[in-house]
Amino acid sequence: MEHQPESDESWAQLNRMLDAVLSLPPEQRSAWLDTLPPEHAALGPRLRSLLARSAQVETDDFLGTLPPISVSSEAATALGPSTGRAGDTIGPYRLDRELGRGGMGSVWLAERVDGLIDRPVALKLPHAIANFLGLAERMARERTILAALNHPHIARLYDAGLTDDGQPYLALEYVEGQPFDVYGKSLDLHGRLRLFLQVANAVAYAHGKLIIHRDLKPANILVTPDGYVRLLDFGIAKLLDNDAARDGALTEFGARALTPEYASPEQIRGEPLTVSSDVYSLGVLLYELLTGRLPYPRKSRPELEHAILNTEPQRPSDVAGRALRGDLDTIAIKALKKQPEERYATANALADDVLRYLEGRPVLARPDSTRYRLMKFVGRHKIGVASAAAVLIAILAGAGVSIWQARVAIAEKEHAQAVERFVVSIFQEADPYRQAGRPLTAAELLRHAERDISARFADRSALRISLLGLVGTGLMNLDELPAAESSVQQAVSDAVLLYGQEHTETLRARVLLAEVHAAQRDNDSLRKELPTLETAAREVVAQEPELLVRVLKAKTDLAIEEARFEDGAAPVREAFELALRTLGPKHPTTVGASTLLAEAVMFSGAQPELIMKESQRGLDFALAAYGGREDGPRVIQMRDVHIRALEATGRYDDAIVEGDKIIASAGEAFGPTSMPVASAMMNTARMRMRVGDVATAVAQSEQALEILGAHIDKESREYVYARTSHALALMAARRFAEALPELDAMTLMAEKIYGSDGWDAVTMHYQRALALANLGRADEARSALAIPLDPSEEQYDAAWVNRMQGSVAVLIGDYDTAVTRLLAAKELLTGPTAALREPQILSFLGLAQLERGETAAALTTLTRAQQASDQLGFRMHPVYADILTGLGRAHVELRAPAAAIAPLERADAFWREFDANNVAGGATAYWLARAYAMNGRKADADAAQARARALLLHSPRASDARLLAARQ
Amino acid sequence: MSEQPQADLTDLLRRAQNGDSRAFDDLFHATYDELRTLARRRLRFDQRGSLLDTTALVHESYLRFVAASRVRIEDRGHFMHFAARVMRSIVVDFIRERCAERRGGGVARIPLTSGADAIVDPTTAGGESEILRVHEALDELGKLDPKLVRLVEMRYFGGMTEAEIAEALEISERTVRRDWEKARLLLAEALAT
Repeated sequence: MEHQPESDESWAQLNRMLDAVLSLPPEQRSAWLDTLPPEHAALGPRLRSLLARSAQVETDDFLGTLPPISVSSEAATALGPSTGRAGDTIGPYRLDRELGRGGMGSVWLAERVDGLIDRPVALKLPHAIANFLGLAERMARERTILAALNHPHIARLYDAGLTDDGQPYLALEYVEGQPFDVYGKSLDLHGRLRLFLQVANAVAYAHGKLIIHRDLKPANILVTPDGYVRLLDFGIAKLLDNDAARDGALTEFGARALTPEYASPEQIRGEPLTVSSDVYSLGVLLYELLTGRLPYPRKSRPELEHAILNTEPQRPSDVAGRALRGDLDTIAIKALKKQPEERYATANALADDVLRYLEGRPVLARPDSTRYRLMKFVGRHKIGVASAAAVLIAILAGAGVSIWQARVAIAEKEHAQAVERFVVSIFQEADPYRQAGRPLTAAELLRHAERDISARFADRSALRISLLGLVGTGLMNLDELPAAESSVQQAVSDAVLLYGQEHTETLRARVLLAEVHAAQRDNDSLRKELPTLETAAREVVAQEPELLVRVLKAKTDLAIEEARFEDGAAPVREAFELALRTLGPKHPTTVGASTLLAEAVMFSGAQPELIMKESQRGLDFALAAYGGREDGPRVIQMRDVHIRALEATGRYDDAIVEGDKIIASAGEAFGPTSMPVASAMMNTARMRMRVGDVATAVAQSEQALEILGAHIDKESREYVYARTSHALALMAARRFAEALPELDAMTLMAEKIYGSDGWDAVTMHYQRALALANLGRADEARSALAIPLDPSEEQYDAAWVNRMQGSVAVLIGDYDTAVTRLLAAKELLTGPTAALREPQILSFLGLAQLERGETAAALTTLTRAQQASDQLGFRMHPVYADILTGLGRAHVELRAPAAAIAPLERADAFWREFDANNVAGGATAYWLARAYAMNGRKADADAAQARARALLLHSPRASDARLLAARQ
Repeated sequence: MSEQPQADLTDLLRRAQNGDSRAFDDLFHATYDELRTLARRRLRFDQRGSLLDTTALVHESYLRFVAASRVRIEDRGHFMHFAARVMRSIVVDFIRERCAERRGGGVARIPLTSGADAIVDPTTAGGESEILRVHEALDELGKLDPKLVRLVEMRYFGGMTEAEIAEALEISERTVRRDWEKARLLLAEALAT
């Protein structure tokens, strides 16, 4: 040092001076030095020289950070004991070679020593930092959850543990591929967006299982050479986070290693995370895909964090300098909102919007919007006179109409008695012997009553109005809507004339009319009526709360019917709360509101956990209102909503269990061959088909159809729907010859009911096409597919359309078209059911590739199909048998007969048990014979070949004929 | 860690804070080995050529000791303050070892610039030199103002934030800022010669 070391005292003085001058702002320091008192003047030069460096020190950020210490791997090895070398054993795994290193640890390719997992795994060895605070318990807890992630686009977590000397490890599925952003560079915009859809769907799936990723970034999203996305490290950030209180904190305790570029504002702030955080990260990924840049390009970490919290990102179209449509801008910006509530609520919603852009149209991935009217079942139920009155009252009461209570403003005893007398008289007159010798239905009874009223009560009177209202209500609940409308319309006109426009009686009638319109799905009328009705009902809410409740329910109905799902929940929620307060929890109207609320939440596309929570609430509520009786009619109604909620959230297995229970309940409540039973059977059969339980689905739908046929009009919508479902079950069971005549008939009926264009017609013709193609009738199949499509229709399902076109193409030998369509179908899969629908697509794709001679590609496709199916955990079914057969065939064609035998034997065993005479088993037997022959098992080969011939002879398919003609 | 019984360090910490040099020594040895092992393991797993993240190490060591119930959570400030001192020793020791290696001990000679495999990265040689010189300057400064030296250790070697330092030294953040400026000026002066 250029000056002498200070004595203690002079240092103390210098110190004090420095403290004083440094407490001043920089611009004042020079002046202060100028005015030093004489006893300190000696220190002046030293102080000045020190302070002269002040500016430099600031700009250089002197001593701001510790400089890097570079250490090569050799030196590092030399420095200390290695904890990772090829051949080392970590837990049950043996290290093979190092795959890479990152901030959190290193990753090795490894194998399981005991062979329990026969694939190589990626073994992640986190830093020592992970070895803290209950990691063992956390791993045990999380491992089960994470291992439950079965999705084609998510890399599996197989195993997690701690070695004896405290080294934690995570065994993940080993994925070979390029990071998302690198792979994306070779694609055009649409290709990149399709890739993004795969990611979003995988994330949505995991969110459905209540798992958040927390660390979505390109390095964690690999794309295999054939364009298949695999997400890595799902939920692992949480596993390694060693501070349970700081859920996802980025800025302390070694987690500085996590990249902030993809982190959400709440992650930066160290707040608890929700699925919105993943949505945000998806937004960053999307932004990067669109523009090639991050939304906040900043150099230093503090600047980046500040930008994430405070700066609005530039619009992608401004950055990328290309004409990105406005939609993409909006989508990206919305996903990147600072406030979680302003972003997309779910990854699904984000995926849907992207899909919308890709297809150039609005898309709504909503659950099936057919809604349920309990009373319809009983509507056409034939009744005997004796129980007619009871049934009528039950019908009316069941709909939440309290007949005898003070609905009538003139609550006179006389009036009430008059009504009662009239009702009784209807039934007295319904003498079966006077009606062409057959019993009446309740509907007929009421229609009769309506005509009667006009005759018997010619004057417009309070009584007449009441009766018209009553009858109208009854007719509405029996789904006799035109008759209901005429009755109630009459009541309204009468009331206007008798009481005037403003009177509560008139309001009552008009509310009833609105309910009829809602039942008719007459949205135009509703739209006109509801605003004034709501205002009027609010004015009298103190005296007649039920009117407002009913109006608000109708408002929700309208919102749902108009697919304004977001607007659905609020009105019915208000209605429910009002009903609860004023009518009480056991009032049928309250229960009805509760059920409608659960339904509205389900339709609103809320997150799965919210849908289920709301559905459970509705269930509990309905049960409580009916004293725990599961077979109460309103309870059954709610249970039906519950099943559809399960279906909407992709929980098909649970839906099936519930469905079977409802079948039992409805059987007890209405009789084992009653309509509600049939309807429940049909729904459950449909769900069974989706999970691949084809055999039961066919049997159940047959049963349902039988019961239905005894009850309802064979030209009614329900019957057509039921028969179609049955035909589809037959298709799934490969009984095409039986299915086709059904489909033909139902197509005609559907066209009569729904019109000869529109989505319903399309689905019918497409199913016919598939059946025809399977029966070798190629030209007819082609013309069935020629029906025009309208992608702007609400129900349009692009994935389905492409899959059907592709499947038909495979069957008629048009393999090029097939491959194009099936690949497109795969890309377009979205929503919670994507994973379920994939195996079918892949199975056909594999077949097309086999027929084109692309055996290796087919092998890859079918292997993945098998994996996807396995991950879904369904039992053996025809599609799976197809996949196995394809795999076997591929192995045979690749001259690997040993590998061929196992899958073929499984498939063959399946067909022999499921349906031994089905020609579908013929191809399987054929390839099995080939495999046996190649393995030198002549006797087995001969037996299988004999079976194959017997079956193939009856097969109409061209490909089967080729097999028959082929030489061994 | 060794198999010695895991004594509660809190007491040692407090005594060391109060100037008990024996306690300080014990504490130093107890933590030095541990941190050294951690540092080595971190060096192994870091990407090649990246820096030794002492901040993370300091936090990590705190956690490790808390996990082993050897330090109470309330003593965080004191512990990290202390760990920063230890970190200084570790870093300096590392650099000195490496210099010894380069002069031909233990590791095969590797050409100075063979791309990514070079042990001596020209850009870090300057950095390492800075570290050593700061270390020496701090020794000198420590004779005059030990408290200032602690602050530099915490900031430079430990990577602690102003808030954390304030907590550890039980002073205000404003004072921390002022003293940090003071220390930097003095050290800038020392390194300029």
